[in-house]
Amino acid sequence: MYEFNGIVIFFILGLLMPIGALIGAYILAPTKSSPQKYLTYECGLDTRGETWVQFKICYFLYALVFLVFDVETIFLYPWAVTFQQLGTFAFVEMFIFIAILIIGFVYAWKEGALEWF
Amino acid sequence: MNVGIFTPEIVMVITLIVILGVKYLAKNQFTVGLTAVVGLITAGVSLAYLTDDLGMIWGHSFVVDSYSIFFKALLIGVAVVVSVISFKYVEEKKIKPGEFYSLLVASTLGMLVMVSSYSLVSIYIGLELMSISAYILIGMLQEDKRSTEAALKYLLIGALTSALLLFGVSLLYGVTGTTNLIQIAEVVSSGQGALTATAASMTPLLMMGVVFVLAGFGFKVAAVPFHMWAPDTYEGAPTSITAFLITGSEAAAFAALLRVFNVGLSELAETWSLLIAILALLSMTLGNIGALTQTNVKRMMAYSAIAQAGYVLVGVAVATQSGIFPVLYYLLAYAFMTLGCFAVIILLSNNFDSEELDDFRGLSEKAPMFAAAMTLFFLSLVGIPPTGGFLGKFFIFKAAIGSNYLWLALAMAINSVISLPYYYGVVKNMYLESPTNNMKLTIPSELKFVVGFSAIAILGLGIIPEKFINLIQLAANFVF
Repeated sequence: MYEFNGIVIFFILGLLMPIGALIGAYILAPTKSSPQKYLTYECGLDTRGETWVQFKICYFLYALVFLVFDVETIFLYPWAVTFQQLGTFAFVEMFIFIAILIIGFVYAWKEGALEWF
Repeated sequence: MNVGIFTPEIVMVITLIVILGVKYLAKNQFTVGLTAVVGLITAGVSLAYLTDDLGMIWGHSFVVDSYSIFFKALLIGVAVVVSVISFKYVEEKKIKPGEFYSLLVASTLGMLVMVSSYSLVSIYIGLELMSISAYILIGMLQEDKRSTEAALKYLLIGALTSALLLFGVSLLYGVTGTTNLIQIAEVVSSGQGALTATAASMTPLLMMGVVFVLAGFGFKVAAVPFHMWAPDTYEGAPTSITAFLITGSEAAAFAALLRVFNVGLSELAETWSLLIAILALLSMTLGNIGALTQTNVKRMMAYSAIAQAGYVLVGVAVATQSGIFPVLYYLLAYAFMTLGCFAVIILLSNNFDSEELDDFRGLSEKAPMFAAAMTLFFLSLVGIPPTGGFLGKFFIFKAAIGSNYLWLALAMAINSVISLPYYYGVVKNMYLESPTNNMKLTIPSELKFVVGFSAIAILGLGIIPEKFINLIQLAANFVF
């Protein structure tokens, strides 16, 4: 059971954090209500009309393309740290990985995922 | 590290990249499909060179043995046939050919990884690659609402499946301290796991893991009670993709399921075999009864696929005692019959733009060979000699009786009778009804080829089975 102690502690901490934050906020926060507090965004412009509107799908495509490179970065970090032990094979492998990602990016570009209009 | 083990997979990766390039360079849509077929066949040919250097890499999580080579050949064959029957369909339905074929190759790649895996984690990775590509493929008919609905349904169920499967995997890992199937088997038989407890106290957690993993695979093979997505998804998906899912995705899931349960968890066979037997009984019965009232042929084939998954599950339930040979034989025969059926269905959907059972009326006058072949495929699906389906069912039947599952064997026999009316309904439409219109059918030559080839294969599996039996018996041994 020894090895799993860490997971149990992590689990309990993870459970306590949000509950603690909520309880803390409930106790500490002053409860003065005003119409301003019920707006979607308290600062900035007031919302006009319905909030259930269509928005441009481009946001989504941008996010997807961004995500690809996000994952690449995460992958590159451990590779760079252990680069010296891994040798040539890993070097070549990483280039293949990046090449495949770039092909995907070029494809998205060609299909017009980066065009705003 | 021996990269040669990956030859078919590497060829497939290159193929799917080349397809995307060809998409922009080629004027003709046909070229894109042809590239896919050539790439897939190259990958298939490269399998022949693998047999000599059997081995395992990635810390024993990826293996090349005759079992995985059998399934890889089967899956690549399925992918080739699906690409070929899609040529005309993709053009008719204005599906983007570049995306279609490259995703088809990607999905097949996922299946190849799955059948070669000796570790729960790499099975999961293969499963995800297979499924994520399939989500997009199902939704490829962008103008068709049913296709989008099918894709969304498959996506949501797929997410649930992954969650269940991963939870089961995490439980197995928690108990045994490893995800490698061979090591799991060692821990289960010795009782010396990560939780340094006795074998007895391990059992409840292990059983939980087994149930969740089984539920995850149950969704993928559409076994009752995990089948509710199948009719809608199979009906709404592009017709060739329905064939791909029913044959390829199911065969890959069964391959992984067999390996997990017969290598990793074979010690627990007494407990899970009854669970699978119950799933098999439910799938056969509900699948066949559901198919009786359908009017859409794809929906009917979906219910028929649920029932057929039930027959295969009978083989899986008794696999530890009687061997996995019957399952492999049945999956091979089943792939041919289903692909043949769908080649005929796709012919009708190219010509009539619908897939109702009434479209089959008078097919024997318009395309006598296709009607005859369809009848043969149905005979094989019911399990009537001299077809491959009969022998496949016979082997599973024999295995079930040999392992004291007499009630399951009886249920199989009764279900074959229940399945007769709905197959007969189509045959009746083809031969006894007069055509609803006088439209002449345009029959592309590649469909003739696929239907002819499947028919010959079905007859070959039924009439001269010795050659196939020897080959499959070779494949029916795990390395360890």
